[in-house]
Amino acid sequence: MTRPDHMKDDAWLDADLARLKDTALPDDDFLARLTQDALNAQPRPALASAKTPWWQQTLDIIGGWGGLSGLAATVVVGFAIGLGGPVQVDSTLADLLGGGVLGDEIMFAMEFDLEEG
Amino acid sequence: MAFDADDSAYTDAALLADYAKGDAAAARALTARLAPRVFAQALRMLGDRAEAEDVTQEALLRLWKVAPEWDADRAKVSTWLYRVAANLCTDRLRRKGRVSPGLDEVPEQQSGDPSVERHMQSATRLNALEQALQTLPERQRMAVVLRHIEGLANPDIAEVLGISIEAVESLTARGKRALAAILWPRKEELGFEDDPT
Repeated sequence: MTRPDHMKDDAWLDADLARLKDTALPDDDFLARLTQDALNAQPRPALASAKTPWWQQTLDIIGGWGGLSGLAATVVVGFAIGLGGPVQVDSTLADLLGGGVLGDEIMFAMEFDLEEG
Repeated sequence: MAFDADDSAYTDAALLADYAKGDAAAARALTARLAPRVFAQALRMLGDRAEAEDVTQEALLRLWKVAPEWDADRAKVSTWLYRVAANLCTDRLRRKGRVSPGLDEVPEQQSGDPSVERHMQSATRLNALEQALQTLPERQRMAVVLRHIEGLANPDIAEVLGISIEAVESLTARGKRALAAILWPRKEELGFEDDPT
């Protein structure tokens, strides 16, 4: 069976179909409504952070893993100082203040002030 | 950040990812880029602007809803959206059991001015094509619209319709043959013989 000419060469139909594309455009008001819909439905950054686990939020507050390391080191040092006796603290403080005679004098003055009120 | 809806440097998937992060510019760009495509598809399928607007709005709302969990490796945004719109159109057509308007409803127009006459003939011709499209079976119409009006590639259409590429080729070929068979007998009235093509 032979096909009619218009079936063999349907360029006229392709051209008309392509032209149809430009005749189905949404109007501006509708596009504005759709844009508003999109903005209304959009996830808010604040809501996104609420989904973050509590430990992650805490880590963020103290400055991440670096902050956590610093905090841990501080706790260890503080604990070690707390375990040490007053003499050790005094000598450490005296060393920090210069040590030797001058350091002893300053420590004596500090103790005297504490006793006298 | 400002985006141009036509800027191909930003893929739909990239814009959707930015949308999910709360970028308002991405929301505007995606709407401007995707809404006209979905609206055109829905209008061709339903033949009614108000219904096409409803489908477009619903399809886009579904996209915004899935945006935070979107997996760019699993689907193309446009293909996914066309598929959602196609399903929404199918639901509406089946719910209503609508009968497509016949070609006899295409208005006849008269005028004496040759340029006006040509313009009117062109409008009448597109109108006739619109009406002819509405007479095609649903799947044929969808395939022809996506291939020849929206310009999708056959693999994408296959994904939208959930069929093989060969089935898409068959649907579009049969759809075009049916359109030609409807329109060609009116070639003089619609001006096909004056075409340089």
